[in-house]
Amino acid sequence: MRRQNKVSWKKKAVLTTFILMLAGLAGWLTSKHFLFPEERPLVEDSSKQGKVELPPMQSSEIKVPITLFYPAEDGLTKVEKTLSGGSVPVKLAESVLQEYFKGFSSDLKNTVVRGVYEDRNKVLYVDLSDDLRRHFSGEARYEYYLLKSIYQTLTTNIVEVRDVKILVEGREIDSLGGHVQILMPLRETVWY
Amino acid sequence: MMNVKRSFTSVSLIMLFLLAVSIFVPAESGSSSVAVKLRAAKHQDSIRIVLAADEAIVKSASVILTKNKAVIVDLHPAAEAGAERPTIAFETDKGALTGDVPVEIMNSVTVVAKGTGCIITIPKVEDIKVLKLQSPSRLVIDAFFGPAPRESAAVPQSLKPPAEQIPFRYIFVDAGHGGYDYGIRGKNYSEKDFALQFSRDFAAAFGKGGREAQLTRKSDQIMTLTERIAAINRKVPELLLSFHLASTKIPIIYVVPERPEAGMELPVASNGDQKKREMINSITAAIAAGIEKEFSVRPLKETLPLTLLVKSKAPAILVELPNPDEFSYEKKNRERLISTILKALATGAKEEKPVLPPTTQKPEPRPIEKSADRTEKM
Repeated sequence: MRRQNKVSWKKKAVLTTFILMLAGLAGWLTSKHFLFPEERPLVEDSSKQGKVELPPMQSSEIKVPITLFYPAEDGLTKVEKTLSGGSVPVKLAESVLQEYFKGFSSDLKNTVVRGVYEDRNKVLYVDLSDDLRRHFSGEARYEYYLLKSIYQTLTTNIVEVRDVKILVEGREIDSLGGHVQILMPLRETVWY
Repeated sequence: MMNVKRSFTSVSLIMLFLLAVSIFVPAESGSSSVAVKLRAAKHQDSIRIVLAADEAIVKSASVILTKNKAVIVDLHPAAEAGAERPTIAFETDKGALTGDVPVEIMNSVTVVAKGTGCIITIPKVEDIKVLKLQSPSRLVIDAFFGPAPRESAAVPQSLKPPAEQIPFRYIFVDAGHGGYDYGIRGKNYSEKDFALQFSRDFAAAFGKGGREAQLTRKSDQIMTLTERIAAINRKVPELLLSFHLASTKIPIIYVVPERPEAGMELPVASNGDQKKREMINSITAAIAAGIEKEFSVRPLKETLPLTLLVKSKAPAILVELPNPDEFSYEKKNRERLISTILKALATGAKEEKPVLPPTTQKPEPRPIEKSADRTEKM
Protein backbone atom coordinates (compact mmCIF):
# COMPACT_ATOMS: atom_id res chain seq x y z
CA MET A 1 0.00 0.00 0.00
CA ARG A 2 2.79 2.37 0.98
CA ARG A 3 4.68 1.46 -2.19
CA GLN A 4 1.63 2.29 -4.35
CA ASN A 5 1.38 5.71 -2.70
CA LYS A 6 5.06 6.33 -3.43
CA VAL A 7 4.65 5.47 -7.13
CA SER A 8 1.65 7.68 -7.56
CA TRP A 9 3.62 10.56 -5.98
CA LYS A 10 6.39 10.01 -8.53
CA LYS A 11 3.89 9.90 -11.39
CA LYS A 12 2.37 13.14 -10.16
CA ALA A 13 5.78 14.84 -10.13
CA VAL A 14 6.59 13.69 -13.68
CA LEU A 15 3.19 14.80 -14.92
CA THR A 16 3.53 18.23 -13.29
CA THR A 17 6.99 18.74 -14.80
CA PHE A 18 5.67 17.74 -18.22
CA ILE A 19 2.73 20.15 -17.96
CA LEU A 20 5.06 22.98 -16.85
CA MET A 21 7.36 22.31 -19.82
CA LEU A 22 4.41 22.32 -22.21
CA ALA A 23 3.18 25.60 -20.74
CA GLY A 24 6.63 27.12 -21.06
CA LEU A 25 6.93 26.03 -24.69
CA ALA A 26 3.50 27.42 -25.50
CA GLY A 27 4.39 30.73 -23.86
CA TRP A 28 7.67 31.00 -25.75
CA LEU A 29 6.01 30.24 -29.09
CA THR A 30 3.27 32.80 -28.43
CA SER A 31 5.74 35.53 -27.52
CA LYS A 32 7.99 34.74 -30.48
CA HIS A 33 5.32 34.75 -33.17
CA PHE A 34 2.58 37.03 -31.88
CA LEU A 35 3.77 39.35 -29.15
CA PHE A 36 7.37 40.11 -30.34
CA PRO A 37 7.69 39.17 -33.99
CA GLU A 38 11.32 38.98 -35.19
CA GLU A 39 12.76 42.35 -36.14
CA ARG A 40 15.24 43.03 -38.93
CA PRO A 41 18.69 42.22 -37.52
CA LEU A 42 20.84 45.18 -36.49
CA VAL A 43 23.72 44.03 -38.63
CA GLU A 44 23.25 42.18 -41.87
CA ASP A 45 25.83 39.80 -43.19
CA SER A 46 26.98 40.24 -46.77
CA SER A 47 27.30 36.52 -47.47
CA LYS A 48 23.83 35.79 -46.06
CA GLN A 49 22.24 38.55 -48.12
CA GLY A 50 23.98 37.42 -51.26
CA LYS A 51 22.72 33.89 -50.93
CA VAL A 52 19.14 34.89 -50.31
CA GLU A 53 18.65 37.59 -52.88
CA LEU A 54 20.90 36.76 -55.78
CA PRO A 55 22.03 33.44 -57.15
CA PRO A 56 25.83 33.43 -57.53
CA MET A 57 25.70 33.06 -61.30
CA GLN A 58 23.45 36.03 -61.71
CA SER A 59 25.55 38.31 -59.47
CA SER A 60 28.80 37.57 -61.29
CA GLU A 61 27.22 38.35 -64.65
CA ILE A 62 26.32 41.92 -63.72
CA LYS A 63 28.86 44.52 -64.88
CA VAL A 64 28.89 47.55 -62.63
CA PRO A 65 30.77 50.77 -63.44
CA ILE A 66 32.57 51.94 -60.31
CA THR A 67 34.69 54.90 -59.24
CA LEU A 68 37.64 54.29 -56.95
CA PHE A 69 39.30 57.10 -55.01
CA TYR A 70 42.91 56.98 -53.89
CA PRO A 71 44.93 59.14 -51.52
CA ALA A 72 47.30 61.64 -53.08
CA GLU A 73 49.49 64.38 -51.62
CA ASP A 74 46.88 67.09 -51.79
CA GLY A 75 43.58 65.27 -51.97
CA LEU A 76 42.16 62.30 -53.79
CA THR A 77 42.62 60.92 -57.26
CA LYS A 78 39.93 58.87 -58.92
CA VAL A 79 39.92 55.88 -61.21
CA GLU A 80 36.94 54.59 -63.21
CA LYS A 81 36.54 50.83 -63.55
CA THR A 82 34.00 48.17 -64.37
CA LEU A 83 33.38 45.41 -61.90
CA SER A 84 31.60 42.10 -62.01
CA GLY A 85 29.43 42.12 -58.96
CA GLY A 86 25.99 41.83 -57.52
CA SER A 87 23.40 44.49 -56.90
CA VAL A 88 23.15 43.72 -53.19
CA PRO A 89 24.81 46.68 -51.42
CA VAL A 90 27.01 44.76 -48.97
CA LYS A 91 28.09 42.29 -51.63
CA LEU A 92 28.92 45.09 -54.03
CA ALA A 93 30.77 46.99 -51.29
CA GLU A 94 32.93 43.96 -50.64
CA SER A 95 33.81 43.63 -54.33
CA VAL A 96 34.48 47.37 -54.63
CA LEU A 97 36.82 47.31 -51.63
CA GLN A 98 38.69 44.29 -52.94
CA GLU A 99 39.20 46.13 -56.22
CA TYR A 100 40.19 49.28 -54.31
CA PHE A 101 43.02 47.59 -52.41
CA LYS A 102 44.32 45.97 -55.60
CA GLY A 103 45.05 49.48 -56.87
CA PHE A 104 47.82 50.21 -54.34
CA SER A 105 51.43 49.86 -55.32
CA SER A 106 52.53 49.67 -51.69
CA ASP A 107 52.01 46.75 -49.29
CA LEU A 108 48.53 48.07 -48.58
CA LYS A 109 47.49 46.00 -51.59
CA ASN A 110 47.76 42.95 -49.31
CA THR A 111 44.87 44.17 -47.19
CA VAL A 112 42.14 41.54 -47.13
CA VAL A 113 38.46 42.40 -46.83
CA ARG A 114 37.28 40.09 -44.05
CA GLY A 115 33.65 41.11 -44.32
CA VAL A 116 31.19 43.91 -44.93
CA TYR A 117 28.05 44.42 -42.88
CA GLU A 118 25.33 47.03 -42.89
CA ASP A 119 23.31 48.16 -39.92
CA ARG A 120 19.79 49.61 -39.74
CA ASN A 121 21.16 53.15 -39.91
CA LYS A 122 22.83 52.47 -43.26
CA VAL A 123 26.27 52.43 -41.70
CA LEU A 124 28.60 50.07 -43.51
CA TYR A 125 30.93 48.12 -41.21
CA VAL A 126 34.05 47.23 -43.11
CA ASP A 127 36.17 44.54 -41.50
CA LEU A 128 39.72 44.60 -42.87
CA SER A 129 42.83 42.57 -42.17
CA ASP A 130 45.59 43.92 -39.95
CA ASP A 131 47.72 44.46 -43.06
CA LEU A 132 46.07 47.86 -43.38
CA ARG A 133 47.45 49.00 -40.00
CA ARG A 134 50.72 47.09 -40.23
CA HIS A 135 51.68 48.31 -43.68
CA PHE A 136 50.57 51.88 -43.17
CA SER A 137 53.46 54.27 -42.95
CA GLY A 138 53.21 57.88 -43.80
CA GLU A 139 52.46 61.43 -42.92
CA ALA A 140 49.30 62.64 -41.25
CA ARG A 141 47.81 63.89 -44.49
CA TYR A 142 48.34 60.53 -46.19
CA GLU A 143 46.50 58.77 -43.37
CA TYR A 144 43.68 61.30 -43.58
CA TYR A 145 43.32 60.94 -47.35
CA LEU A 146 43.56 57.16 -47.14
CA LEU A 147 40.57 57.11 -44.80
CA LYS A 148 38.77 59.66 -46.91
CA SER A 149 39.38 57.61 -50.03
CA ILE A 150 37.81 54.52 -48.42
CA TYR A 151 34.80 56.56 -47.32
CA GLN A 152 34.46 58.28 -50.67
CA THR A 153 34.84 55.03 -52.63
CA LEU A 154 32.11 53.29 -50.67
CA THR A 155 29.63 56.16 -50.44
CA THR A 156 30.02 56.98 -54.13
CA ASN A 157 29.46 53.43 -55.38
CA ILE A 158 26.91 52.19 -52.88
CA VAL A 159 24.18 54.76 -53.04
CA GLU A 160 22.24 53.88 -49.93
CA VAL A 161 25.26 53.95 -47.60
CA ARG A 162 25.26 56.89 -45.18
CA ASP A 163 28.46 56.23 -43.28
CA VAL A 164 31.41 53.86 -43.09
CA LYS A 165 33.00 52.35 -40.01
CA ILE A 166 36.36 50.59 -40.18
CA LEU A 167 37.14 47.51 -38.14
CA VAL A 168 40.49 45.75 -38.15
CA GLU A 169 40.33 41.98 -37.65
CA GLY A 170 36.81 42.42 -36.33
CA ARG A 171 37.74 45.00 -33.71
CA GLU A 172 37.57 48.73 -33.28
CA ILE A 173 41.01 50.32 -33.24
CA ASP A 174 42.00 53.81 -32.15
CA SER A 175 43.93 54.75 -35.25
CA LEU A 176 45.64 53.32 -38.32
CA GLY A 177 48.82 55.35 -38.17
CA GLY A 178 48.62 57.51 -35.07
CA HIS A 179 47.17 60.68 -36.61
CA VAL A 180 43.46 60.15 -37.17
CA GLN A 181 41.07 58.45 -34.78
CA ILE A 182 38.77 55.85 -36.33
CA LEU A 183 36.73 54.81 -33.33
CA MET A 184 33.73 56.59 -34.83
CA PRO A 185 32.26 56.18 -38.32
CA LEU A 186 34.29 58.10 -40.88
CA ARG A 187 31.79 60.72 -42.04
CA GLU A 188 32.45 62.98 -39.07
CA THR A 189 36.18 62.53 -39.41
CA VAL A 190 36.81 63.06 -43.12
CA TRP A 191 34.44 65.96 -43.69
CA TYR A 192 37.06 68.41 -44.94
CA MET B 1 49.47 -14.56 -24.10
CA MET B 2 53.25 -14.24 -24.23
CA ASN B 3 52.98 -12.62 -27.67
CA VAL B 4 50.58 -10.02 -26.38
CA LYS B 5 52.90 -9.26 -23.48
CA ARG B 6 55.88 -8.95 -25.84
CA SER B 7 54.13 -6.60 -28.23
CA PHE B 8 52.92 -4.52 -25.27
CA THR B 9 56.50 -4.28 -23.98
CA SER B 10 57.86 -3.26 -27.39
CA VAL B 11 55.17 -0.59 -27.81
CA SER B 12 56.03 0.73 -24.35
CA LEU B 13 59.71 0.84 -25.27
CA ILE B 14 58.98 2.78 -28.47
CA MET B 15 56.84 5.21 -26.52
CA LEU B 16 59.60 5.69 -23.93
CA PHE B 17 62.14 6.27 -26.72
CA LEU B 18 59.92 8.89 -28.35
CA LEU B 19 59.43 10.59 -24.98
CA ALA B 20 63.18 10.67 -24.39
CA VAL B 21 63.76 12.12 -27.88
CA SER B 22 61.16 14.82 -27.29
CA ILE B 23 62.83 15.75 -23.99
CA PHE B 24 66.43 15.82 -25.14
CA VAL B 25 66.00 17.27 -28.62
CA PRO B 26 65.21 21.00 -28.31
CA ALA B 27 61.54 21.64 -28.95
CA GLU B 28 62.27 24.42 -31.43
CA SER B 29 65.13 22.82 -33.27
CA GLY B 30 63.85 24.41 -36.47
CA SER B 31 63.89 27.96 -35.13
CA SER B 32 66.97 30.02 -34.32
CA SER B 33 67.85 31.11 -30.84
CA VAL B 34 69.33 34.44 -29.83
CA ALA B 35 71.36 34.84 -26.68
CA VAL B 36 70.83 37.99 -24.64
CA LYS B 37 72.88 38.77 -21.56
CA LEU B 38 71.04 40.80 -18.97
CA ARG B 39 72.84 42.66 -16.20
CA ALA B 40 71.71 45.21 -13.64
CA ALA B 41 73.55 47.76 -11.54
CA LYS B 42 72.30 50.14 -8.88
CA HIS B 43 73.12 53.83 -9.00
CA GLN B 44 72.20 56.63 -6.63
CA ASP B 45 68.86 57.60 -8.20
CA SER B 46 68.44 54.90 -10.75
CA ILE B 47 68.95 51.30 -11.75
CA ARG B 48 70.81 50.56 -14.97
CA ILE B 49 69.79 47.45 -16.87
CA VAL B 50 71.95 46.38 -19.78
CA LEU B 51 70.88 43.82 -22.38
CA ALA B 52 73.76 42.76 -24.62
CA ALA B 53 72.59 41.31 -27.94
CA ASP B 54 73.13 41.39 -31.69
CA GLU B 55 72.98 44.79 -33.34
CA ALA B 56 69.84 43.95 -35.32
CA ILE B 57 68.05 42.86 -32.17
CA VAL B 58 69.09 45.99 -30.28
CA LYS B 59 68.00 48.21 -33.17
CA SER B 60 64.52 46.73 -33.36
CA ALA B 61 64.05 46.62 -29.59
CA SER B 62 61.13 48.43 -28.06
CA VAL B 63 60.98 49.41 -24.39
CA ILE B 64 57.81 50.51 -22.67
CA LEU B 65 57.17 51.63 -19.10
CA THR B 66 53.68 50.64 -18.01
CA LYS B 67 51.54 52.19 -15.30
CA ASN B 68 52.19 49.10 -13.15
CA LYS B 69 55.88 49.99 -12.88
CA ALA B 70 56.85 47.23 -15.27
CA VAL B 71 59.37 47.76 -18.03
CA ILE B 72 58.36 45.69 -21.05
CA VAL B 73 61.25 44.92 -23.37
CA ASP B 74 60.31 43.51 -26.76
CA LEU B 75 63.38 42.51 -28.70
CA HIS B 76 61.79 41.48 -31.94
CA PRO B 77 58.63 43.46 -32.36
CA ALA B 78 58.82 43.95 -36.10
CA ALA B 79 58.51 40.31 -37.15
CA GLU B 80 56.03 39.80 -39.93
CA ALA B 81 52.98 37.68 -39.24
CA GLY B 82 53.73 34.06 -40.04
CA ALA B 83 57.48 34.64 -40.10
CA GLU B 84 59.57 32.52 -37.78
CA ARG B 85 60.57 34.50 -34.73
CA PRO B 86 63.84 33.58 -33.05
CA THR B 87 63.57 32.45 -29.47
CA ILE B 88 65.37 34.62 -26.96
CA ALA B 89 67.58 32.94 -24.38
CA PHE B 90 68.10 35.35 -21.50
CA GLU B 91 71.13 34.88 -19.29
CA THR B 92 71.42 36.77 -16.02
CA ASP B 93 73.98 36.69 -13.21
CA LYS B 94 71.43 34.69 -11.26
CA GLY B 95 70.92 32.11 -14.02
CA ALA B 96 68.91 31.69 -17.20
CA LEU B 97 65.30 32.83 -17.51
CA THR B 98 63.06 29.86 -18.12
CA GLY B 99 59.34 29.74 -18.69
CA ASP B 100 57.26 32.10 -16.60
CA VAL B 101 59.53 31.89 -13.55
CA PRO B 102 60.61 35.35 -12.40
CA VAL B 103 64.24 35.80 -11.42
CA GLU B 104 65.24 38.44 -8.89
CA ILE B 105 68.27 40.13 -10.40
CA MET B 106 68.54 42.74 -7.67
CA ASN B 107 66.71 43.66 -4.49
CA SER B 108 62.99 43.46 -5.43
CA VAL B 109 63.82 43.86 -9.15
CA THR B 110 62.53 40.83 -11.01
CA VAL B 111 62.73 39.71 -14.62
CA VAL B 112 60.54 37.21 -16.39
CA ALA B 113 60.87 36.06 -20.00
CA LYS B 114 57.78 36.72 -22.09
CA GLY B 115 57.40 35.95 -25.79
CA THR B 116 60.21 37.64 -27.68
CA GLY B 117 61.20 39.81 -24.77
CA CYS B 118 60.99 40.13 -21.04
CA ILE B 119 59.19 42.04 -18.33
CA ILE B 120 61.29 43.78 -15.70
CA THR B 121 59.43 44.83 -12.57
CA ILE B 122 61.05 47.70 -10.71
CA PRO B 123 59.11 49.01 -7.71
CA LYS B 124 58.80 52.82 -7.47
CA VAL B 125 60.21 53.42 -10.95
CA GLU B 126 58.98 56.78 -12.29
CA ASP B 127 60.70 57.22 -15.61
CA ILE B 128 63.03 55.41 -17.96
CA LYS B 129 65.67 56.46 -20.42
CA VAL B 130 66.58 54.05 -23.20
CA LEU B 131 69.88 54.06 -25.08
CA LYS B 132 70.89 51.83 -27.95
CA LEU B 133 74.67 51.62 -27.92
CA GLN B 134 77.28 49.92 -30.07
CA SER B 135 80.68 48.22 -29.58
CA PRO B 136 79.46 45.97 -28.10
CA SER B 137 75.87 46.40 -29.20
CA ARG B 138 73.62 46.73 -26.17
CA LEU B 139 70.35 48.13 -24.98
CA VAL B 140 70.71 50.28 -21.88
CA ILE B 141 67.68 51.05 -19.76
CA ASP B 142 68.08 53.58 -16.97
CA ALA B 143 65.14 53.32 -14.58
CA PHE B 144 64.76 56.43 -12.44
CA PHE B 145 62.89 56.78 -9.17
CA GLY B 146 62.00 60.35 -10.09
CA PRO B 147 61.89 62.29 -13.37
CA ALA B 148 64.75 61.30 -15.65
CA PRO B 149 67.41 63.99 -16.00
CA ARG B 150 67.38 65.31 -19.55
CA GLU B 151 70.09 67.01 -21.47
CA SER B 152 68.49 70.33 -22.23
CA ALA B 153 69.05 71.68 -25.67
CA ALA B 154 71.63 74.39 -25.39
CA VAL B 155 70.14 77.12 -27.53
CA PRO B 156 72.61 79.62 -28.99
CA GLN B 157 72.23 83.00 -27.31
CA SER B 158 71.71 84.78 -30.66
CA LEU B 159 68.70 82.63 -31.48
CA LYS B 160 67.25 82.33 -27.99
CA PRO B 161 64.17 84.49 -27.47
CA PRO B 162 64.18 86.41 -24.20
CA ALA B 163 62.04 84.54 -21.67
CA GLU B 164 59.59 87.39 -21.26
CA GLN B 165 58.82 87.42 -25.01
CA ILE B 166 57.16 84.02 -24.97
CA PRO B 167 53.64 84.68 -23.74
CA PHE B 168 52.88 81.08 -22.78
CA ARG B 169 53.54 79.79 -19.27
CA TYR B 170 52.20 76.26 -19.61
CA ILE B 171 52.07 74.22 -22.79
CA PHE B 172 51.77 70.54 -23.75
CA VAL B 173 54.32 68.91 -26.03
CA ASP B 174 53.13 65.74 -27.71
CA ALA B 175 55.64 63.25 -29.06
CA GLY B 176 53.84 61.38 -31.84
CA HIS B 177 53.46 57.59 -31.99
CA GLY B 178 55.18 55.27 -29.43
CA GLY B 179 55.22 51.62 -28.42
CA TYR B 180 54.28 49.34 -31.31
CA ASP B 181 53.30 52.37 -33.38
CA TYR B 182 56.65 53.22 -34.97
CA GLY B 183 55.43 55.89 -37.38
CA ILE B 184 57.77 56.44 -40.30
CA ARG B 185 60.78 54.13 -40.23
CA GLY B 186 64.14 54.87 -41.77
CA LYS B 187 67.47 53.09 -41.87
CA ASN B 188 68.69 54.48 -38.56
CA TYR B 189 65.64 55.98 -36.97
CA SER B 190 61.99 55.51 -36.20
CA GLU B 191 59.53 58.38 -35.94
CA LYS B 192 58.47 57.44 -32.41
CA ASP B 193 62.03 57.68 -31.04
CA PHE B 194 62.84 60.81 -32.99
CA ALA B 195 59.64 62.56 -31.91
CA LEU B 196 60.26 61.66 -28.27
CA GLN B 197 63.82 62.94 -28.25
CA PHE B 198 62.92 66.15 -30.06
CA SER B 199 59.92 66.74 -27.79
CA ARG B 200 62.07 66.25 -24.69
CA ASP B 201 64.66 68.70 -25.96
CA PHE B 202 62.02 71.20 -26.94
CA ALA B 203 60.24 70.89 -23.59
CA ALA B 204 63.54 71.35 -21.75
CA ALA B 205 64.37 74.47 -23.77
CA PHE B 206 60.88 75.90 -23.29
CA GLY B 207 60.91 75.11 -19.58
CA LYS B 208 63.66 77.60 -18.79
CA GLY B 209 62.61 80.84 -17.14
CA GLY B 210 59.76 79.52 -15.00
CA ARG B 211 57.66 78.15 -17.85
CA GLU B 212 56.47 74.57 -18.02
CA ALA B 213 56.11 72.20 -20.95
CA GLN B 214 54.42 68.92 -20.11
CA LEU B 215 55.02 65.88 -22.28
CA THR B 216 52.12 63.62 -23.23
CA ARG B 217 54.49 60.65 -23.15
CA LYS B 218 57.85 60.49 -21.44
CA SER B 219 59.07 57.16 -22.70
CA ASP B 220 58.55 54.69 -25.53
CA GLN B 221 55.04 53.82 -24.53
CA ILE B 222 51.80 53.05 -26.30
CA MET B 223 49.49 56.04 -26.05
CA THR B 224 46.33 56.14 -28.10
CA LEU B 225 44.92 59.38 -29.46
CA THR B 226 42.04 58.98 -27.00
CA GLU B 227 44.50 58.88 -24.08
CA ARG B 228 46.45 61.84 -25.42
CA ILE B 229 43.33 63.94 -25.80
CA ALA B 230 42.17 63.01 -22.30
CA ALA B 231 45.56 63.99 -20.83
CA ILE B 232 45.63 67.32 -22.67
CA ASN B 233 42.02 68.25 -21.93
CA ARG B 234 42.40 67.40 -18.23
CA LYS B 235 44.99 70.17 -17.88
CA VAL B 236 43.88 72.56 -20.67
CA PRO B 237 47.27 74.10 -21.48
CA GLU B 238 47.69 77.39 -23.31
CA LEU B 239 49.03 75.62 -26.40
CA LEU B 240 49.56 72.11 -27.73
CA LEU B 241 52.50 71.34 -30.00
CA SER B 242 52.60 67.85 -31.47
CA PHE B 243 55.84 66.73 -33.09
CA HIS B 244 56.01 64.14 -35.88
CA LEU B 245 58.20 63.47 -38.89
CA ALA B 246 57.57 64.30 -42.54
CA SER B 247 58.53 61.80 -45.22
CA THR B 248 60.67 64.39 -47.03
CA LYS B 249 62.91 67.27 -45.98
CA ILE B 250 59.99 69.67 -46.30
CA PRO B 251 58.30 70.17 -42.94
CA ILE B 252 54.51 70.28 -42.80
CA ILE B 253 52.58 72.36 -40.30
CA TYR B 254 48.99 71.27 -39.70
CA VAL B 255 46.25 73.44 -38.31
CA VAL B 256 42.55 72.82 -37.80
CA PRO B 257 40.23 73.93 -40.65
CA GLU B 258 37.61 76.63 -40.44
CA ARG B 259 34.48 75.73 -38.59
CA PRO B 260 31.88 74.52 -41.11
CA GLU B 261 28.53 76.25 -41.36
CA ALA B 262 25.87 75.17 -38.92
CA GLY B 263 23.58 73.81 -41.62
CA MET B 264 26.18 71.37 -42.80
CA GLU B 265 25.68 69.11 -39.75
CA LEU B 266 29.36 68.54 -39.45
CA PRO B 267 31.46 68.38 -36.32
CA VAL B 268 32.73 71.54 -34.77
CA ALA B 269 36.34 71.63 -33.70
CA SER B 270 36.46 72.32 -30.00
CA ASN B 271 39.49 74.53 -30.45
CA GLY B 272 38.28 76.00 -33.69
CA ASP B 273 36.97 79.32 -32.47
CA GLN B 274 38.09 82.39 -34.33
CA LYS B 275 40.35 83.88 -31.68
CA LYS B 276 42.31 80.70 -31.08
CA ARG B 277 42.59 80.10 -34.82
CA GLU B 278 44.00 83.57 -35.37
CA MET B 279 46.65 82.89 -32.77
CA ILE B 280 47.44 79.49 -34.29
CA ASN B 281 47.65 80.99 -37.77
CA SER B 282 50.11 83.68 -36.71
CA ILE B 283 52.30 81.19 -34.80
CA THR B 284 52.19 78.81 -37.77
CA ALA B 285 53.22 81.61 -40.12
CA ALA B 286 56.04 82.56 -37.77
CA ILE B 287 57.30 78.95 -37.55
CA ALA B 288 57.19 78.65 -41.35
CA ALA B 289 58.98 81.96 -41.87
CA GLY B 290 61.59 81.10 -39.23
CA ILE B 291 62.36 77.67 -40.71
CA GLU B 292 62.56 79.13 -44.21
CA LYS B 293 64.94 81.84 -43.06
CA GLU B 294 67.16 79.56 -41.00
CA PHE B 295 67.21 76.45 -43.16
CA SER B 296 66.18 77.65 -46.65
CA VAL B 297 63.31 75.15 -46.71
CA ARG B 298 59.79 76.41 -47.21
CA PRO B 299 57.40 74.45 -44.95
CA LEU B 300 53.98 73.43 -46.22
CA LYS B 301 50.89 74.51 -44.35
CA GLU B 302 48.10 71.93 -44.29
CA THR B 303 44.62 72.53 -43.00
CA LEU B 304 43.13 69.21 -41.97
CA PRO B 305 40.83 68.05 -39.17
CA LEU B 306 43.36 65.73 -37.53
CA THR B 307 42.09 64.28 -34.29
CA LEU B 308 44.46 66.07 -31.90
CA LEU B 309 43.81 69.41 -33.57
CA VAL B 310 40.04 68.97 -33.51
CA LYS B 311 39.55 67.48 -30.08
CA SER B 312 42.13 69.37 -28.07
CA LYS B 313 40.56 72.13 -25.99
CA ALA B 314 43.84 73.99 -26.25
CA PRO B 315 44.91 75.71 -29.47
CA ALA B 316 46.89 73.06 -31.28
CA ILE B 317 49.55 72.78 -33.97
CA LEU B 318 50.97 69.56 -35.38
CA VAL B 319 54.44 69.88 -36.87
CA GLU B 320 55.97 67.23 -39.10
CA LEU B 321 59.68 67.97 -38.93
CA PRO B 322 62.07 67.39 -41.85
CA ASN B 323 62.91 63.74 -42.45
CA PRO B 324 66.31 62.78 -40.94
CA ASP B 325 67.27 61.04 -44.19
CA GLU B 326 67.21 64.41 -45.95
CA PHE B 327 67.95 66.84 -43.14
CA SER B 328 70.90 66.94 -40.78
CA TYR B 329 69.94 66.76 -37.13
CA GLU B 330 73.41 67.20 -35.79
CA LYS B 331 73.48 69.05 -32.47
CA LYS B 332 73.77 72.58 -33.85
CA ASN B 333 70.96 72.16 -36.38
CA ARG B 334 68.67 70.57 -33.82
CA GLU B 335 69.26 73.49 -31.46
CA ARG B 336 68.60 75.98 -34.23
CA LEU B 337 65.34 74.24 -35.10
CA ILE B 338 64.18 74.27 -31.48
CA SER B 339 65.19 77.88 -31.15
CA THR B 340 63.36 78.83 -34.34
CA ILE B 341 60.13 77.30 -33.04
CA LEU B 342 60.58 79.00 -29.65
CA LYS B 343 61.12 82.31 -31.39
CA ALA B 344 57.99 81.72 -33.47
CA LEU B 345 55.97 81.23 -30.29
CA ALA B 346 57.13 84.64 -29.15
CA THR B 347 56.68 86.53 -32.42
CA GLY B 348 53.55 84.65 -33.56
CA ALA B 349 51.64 85.26 -30.37
CA LYS B 350 52.73 88.92 -30.39
CA GLU B 351 51.49 89.44 -33.95
CA GLU B 352 48.12 87.91 -33.20
CA LYS B 353 45.60 89.73 -35.30
CA PRO B 354 42.30 91.15 -34.03
CA VAL B 355 39.33 88.83 -34.19
CA LEU B 356 37.64 88.85 -37.58
CA PRO B 357 33.94 88.18 -38.12
CA PRO B 358 33.24 84.53 -38.88
CA THR B 359 33.49 83.64 -42.53
CA THR B 360 30.29 83.12 -44.49
CA GLN B 361 31.98 81.03 -47.12
CA LYS B 362 31.71 77.28 -47.06
CA PRO B 363 35.05 75.58 -46.74
CA GLU B 364 36.28 74.66 -50.17
CA PRO B 365 36.21 70.93 -50.84
CA ARG B 366 39.59 69.30 -51.29
CA PRO B 367 40.64 68.86 -54.90
CA ILE B 368 39.77 65.56 -56.50
CA GLU B 369 42.02 65.02 -59.42
CA LYS B 370 41.26 62.72 -62.26
CA SER B 371 44.59 61.20 -63.01
CA ALA B 372 45.76 58.40 -65.19
CA ASP B 373 49.19 58.22 -63.58
CA ARG B 374 47.72 57.64 -60.16
CA THR B 375 50.30 55.11 -59.07
CA GLU B 376 53.10 57.60 -59.51
CA LYS B 377 51.40 59.93 -57.08
CA MET B 378 51.14 57.27 -54.44
